Amino acid sequence: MMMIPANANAQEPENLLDPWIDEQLDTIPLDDWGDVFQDMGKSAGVKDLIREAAQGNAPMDLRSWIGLLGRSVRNEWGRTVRQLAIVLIISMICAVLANLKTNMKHGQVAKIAEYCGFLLVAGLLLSSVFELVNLCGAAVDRLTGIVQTMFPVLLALMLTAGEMTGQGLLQPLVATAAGGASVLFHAVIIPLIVIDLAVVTAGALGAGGTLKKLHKLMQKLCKWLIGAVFTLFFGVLAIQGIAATTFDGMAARTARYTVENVVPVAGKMFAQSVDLVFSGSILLKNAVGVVGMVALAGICLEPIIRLCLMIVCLRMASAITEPMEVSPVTESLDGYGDAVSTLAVSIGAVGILFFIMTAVVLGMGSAVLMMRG
Amino acid sequence: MEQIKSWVLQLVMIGLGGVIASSLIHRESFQRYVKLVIGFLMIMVLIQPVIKLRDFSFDPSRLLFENMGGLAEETSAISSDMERVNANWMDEYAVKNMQSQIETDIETVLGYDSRVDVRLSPDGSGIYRVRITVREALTGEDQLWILNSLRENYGLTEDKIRLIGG
Repeated sequence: MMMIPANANAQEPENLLDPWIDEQLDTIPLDDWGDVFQDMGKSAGVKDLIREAAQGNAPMDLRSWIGLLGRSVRNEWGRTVRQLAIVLIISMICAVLANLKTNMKHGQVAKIAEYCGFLLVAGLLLSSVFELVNLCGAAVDRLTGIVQTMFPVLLALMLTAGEMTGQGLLQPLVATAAGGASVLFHAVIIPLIVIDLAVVTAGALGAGGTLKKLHKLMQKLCKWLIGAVFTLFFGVLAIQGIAATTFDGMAARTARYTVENVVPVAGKMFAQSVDLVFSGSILLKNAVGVVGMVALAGICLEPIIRLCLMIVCLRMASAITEPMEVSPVTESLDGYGDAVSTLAVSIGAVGILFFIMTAVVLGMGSAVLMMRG
Repeated sequence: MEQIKSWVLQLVMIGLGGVIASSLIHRESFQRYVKLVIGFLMIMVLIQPVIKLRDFSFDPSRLLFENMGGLAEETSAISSDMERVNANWMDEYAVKNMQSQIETDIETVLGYDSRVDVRLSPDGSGIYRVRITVREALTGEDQLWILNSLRENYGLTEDKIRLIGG
């Protein structure tokens, strides 16, 4: 008996899936992402961006990213230069006082004045650094918020795409990463950095001797922690990702084979509609993931730019003040620079952790699609 | 955070106190003693958090997996909404495809222009009935071919098929 392929009269898959995507988007709770995209200069809502991404349009192109980067740097540059100028002026006054000290009969007065100058610099810089610490804390909360609203959707889409094993394996990892990253940052990294800043300030005062070793210990503790968490997390993620892809790919293939062979034509039609829904789910999952990754990158961008400019400001100030021989100021600037670098590494690490976790979920879907054949 | 703030403040105040004290004392031998005392004070303040860690109970499994239940519930709620949309959509897709396939088969093999209407059972048990309307009068052989074709390809019994000829 001659049978014409079932999809001979069917419409193009893109058009066919559009109403399905619209219907699915109505069921997805993604309204809690707030003004992430408004901050990035996008007027479209989250769901519109996902719809566009599902049609193959990137939510942010390279030009938009460069524009956003330029805007952020321009906004922060003035503040950084002003801060650098103030630090340098105070350092010069300190240097003059330090030189006067040797010529004055009562050098202690000049010494106290020098320390007052240092405290002024420290107060100014510490207030900026604490502002950055708070900004990073808020950014981590926003990142966690995005992950906590995005991952239930991605995991649900994994379920509807037939990636049961992958979803089951990823759920504890996602819960651990989302909760653990926030706790690690707020309860461990931020306190360590705050303590480090205090150690640097107390060490620069130099009353009880130097505290450089303690400062180095704080730095190393932060770096070891981040390194250990990263290694552990990505090790588990990589192994589970590979295992889940193989299981899900084979399970979907077996299920389709069974369905196709129950009733010749109706079974094939059913298998086709299941396949289409699976593929649609993977397409929608990729779109949600891509938009989520853009949001994650957008949230990380502002604190990282501000931290980088602060590091530049502190390192430049430290380099310029070194020949002036105002050791408390130079030492503290260097120490604050280290602390801010650690903060930048930490927020970058949290962002990359969430970013790679999303990429693994998206990659898993594509791999399952390939395995399905 | 409050504890950290007070710890930091203690550290800075001791450092500042040391600087002021050593500035007020002129004799170098006394300055050495002041530095020693300030150093001891600093060590005492610095080791305070380490001593407090002794009483600190921390269960990582409770901390890390406390979001698990919430995530699983939310995923399951979203997934069941999506499954509902998928089920409706797959039914619609399968019905459209089936109608189109039967119409094409009848036209290709028998040469009739037909209109097929497939209805699904509301309880989700499968096809409720298939109604095939053909403008021309169908011969007995043609009717038999259609019934056989529907039985073989779609597993449909005769009671679910309505054949209307012109």
